[in-house]
Amino acid sequence: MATTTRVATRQGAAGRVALRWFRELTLVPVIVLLMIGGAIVNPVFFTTSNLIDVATGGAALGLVVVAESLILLTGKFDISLQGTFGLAPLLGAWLIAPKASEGLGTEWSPWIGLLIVLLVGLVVGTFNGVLVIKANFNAFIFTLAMSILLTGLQLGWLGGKTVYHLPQVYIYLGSDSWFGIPAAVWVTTLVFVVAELFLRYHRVGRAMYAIGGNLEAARAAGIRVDSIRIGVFMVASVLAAVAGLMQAGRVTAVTAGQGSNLIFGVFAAAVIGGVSLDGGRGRMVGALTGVILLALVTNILTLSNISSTWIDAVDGAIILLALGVARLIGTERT
Amino acid sequence: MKVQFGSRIRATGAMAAVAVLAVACGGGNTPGTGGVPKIGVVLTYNLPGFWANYLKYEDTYKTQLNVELIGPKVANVEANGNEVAQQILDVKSLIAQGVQALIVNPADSSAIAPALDYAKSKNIPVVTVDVAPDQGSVYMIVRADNTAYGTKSCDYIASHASSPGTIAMVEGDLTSLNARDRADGCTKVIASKYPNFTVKSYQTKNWGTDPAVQNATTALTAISNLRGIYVHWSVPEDGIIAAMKSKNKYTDVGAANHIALVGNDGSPHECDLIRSKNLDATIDQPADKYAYYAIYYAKQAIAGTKYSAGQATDHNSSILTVAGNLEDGLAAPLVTLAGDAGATQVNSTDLWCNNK
Repeated sequence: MATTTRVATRQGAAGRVALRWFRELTLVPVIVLLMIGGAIVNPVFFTTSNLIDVATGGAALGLVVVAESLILLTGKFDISLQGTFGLAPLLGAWLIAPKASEGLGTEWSPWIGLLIVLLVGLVVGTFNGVLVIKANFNAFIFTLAMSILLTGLQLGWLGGKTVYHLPQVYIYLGSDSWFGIPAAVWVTTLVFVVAELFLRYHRVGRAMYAIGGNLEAARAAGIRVDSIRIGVFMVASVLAAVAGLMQAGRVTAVTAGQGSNLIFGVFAAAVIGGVSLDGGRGRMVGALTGVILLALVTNILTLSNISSTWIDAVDGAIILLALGVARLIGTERT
Repeated sequence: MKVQFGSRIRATGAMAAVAVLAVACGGGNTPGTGGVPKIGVVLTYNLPGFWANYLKYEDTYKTQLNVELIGPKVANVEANGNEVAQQILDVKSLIAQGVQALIVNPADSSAIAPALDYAKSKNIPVVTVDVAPDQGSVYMIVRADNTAYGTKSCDYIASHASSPGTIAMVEGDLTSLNARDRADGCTKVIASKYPNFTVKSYQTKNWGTDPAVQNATTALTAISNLRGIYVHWSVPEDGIIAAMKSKNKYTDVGAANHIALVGNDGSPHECDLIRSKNLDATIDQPADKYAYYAIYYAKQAIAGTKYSAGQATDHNSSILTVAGNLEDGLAAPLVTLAGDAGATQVNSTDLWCNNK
């Protein structure tokens, strides 16, 4: 086990822990401000039903944010997660939907469709991981090219058609509810919790921080640096594929444009949530606050009936504001 | 001249490929000179399902009308963001390939003007389909009356509501004239005919499915006296129905206190939803007629036929003037299960959804 990690753990005295929590929660004041704003804009904002809408709206994004954050922690990143988010559910849907809903017409069992979604994620993740880590391609340009390729396949494969009217099993994750709360929200919450615990307590999770913090030191400490980094790429892509399935289930269709421009929101949520682009720093709790913030902004803008042409500008301004707050408090140092 | 010569060779190559396919159907192997009009096609994919069907019909009608289609060149709205620039290049490249007329679905009503001006300078007539340009001159616009889409859709919701209340309108991309017309049609008919109703509008950028479903979900939560949802296009409907179900606000069409859902497009899936009482109504945006008359007018343009405003057509429409250009405003009826009060019954063979 890496000495650096052990030292860091030993330093985790009560004061430090408090400080770290404080840093993870820098966005909380911004979120509180937004909630007050939301309540002023529309009294409906603080109803259970609306807050569930917010959570549902952010669920798929949140899953991709977990995926991207894991990669960011190890000091790399993957832009093609948005391509996987679109292509994986599209391929699955295409193979199981009847011809009348723009499927292939083979009408395979939806379970096979689900398997294909996971498989696409796994294949893309392995490919990215091996080539970025082992062949040492630049992560930015390589995954950007992958992203363009995947989005292009998604468009070209069906000539831009939307596959719709998908079977119940396939849309279950995105459309069903457990105890009055959408399954998507439960699943994303669970993934956040598991990721946080894994990073904090599991040997590999702590090794990821060590890798992102100082790669050579981690290697010298005997951590299997490459396998872990490739593994992270694989897990992240599978998560992105599942997130795509979640989104497809919610709108019960897969469009040729699903996932386009998603990655900007993903990076924004991770970074304003305190995950460093340089690797080695950040926690899932922080990333979660980033997701909550973005989901709240979308909801409040919708409730306020602001013209859609202004939504991007407002979105950008709020992300900048959040970055500013994070900078002032000192979490964001990149 | 050299450029044109080079591109002619390339065009011949493409035609040879077409000819190989045509041989099976008894077509001769004489590319280019057989007097078959050559028409270039430039489209966008702003409504993927609709345009996929359009292309299917185009294939049928090009044989029937005996023209050769080159393309389609497709500028994808959701993926690129620079589709207008792409369309201008597409128009130039098709003209360089020697087409005699163009069928264009402009990505933007205004920004297509340079492409239209260029075509005009080369004396190539243009038929626009589904979208009327704000400026620039075209031979004919093949389009349905989109204001009537909005009028009929919201009139249906208000006239079928049990009591006055609010209609949520999930608007398409307002940079397109079609979405603006649909929005206008809805708000105007409610303001003039149903003063006790209000319309709450939700805008959606780029006809995005997910934001549209999210908008409808918010409306279901936020509006307590919601009587119906009018969504400008068909793709988000399944998601909206799912949202209604998850909020326990879903009832079959015709049930007491039913929240109506009306979409536009008239796709086969929408007709299925109407038959299963999930969807109240749609507007039949005639993909088949769009494809047929786009080719028809492009062919007439090459032949030099002249049309004038006010002229009645042989297919239940008349020629109008829109921003200085002629338009064949195709009939686009409301489609319902009952088929009463001027609506078309969902099983009618006049609808493109039944014309698979």
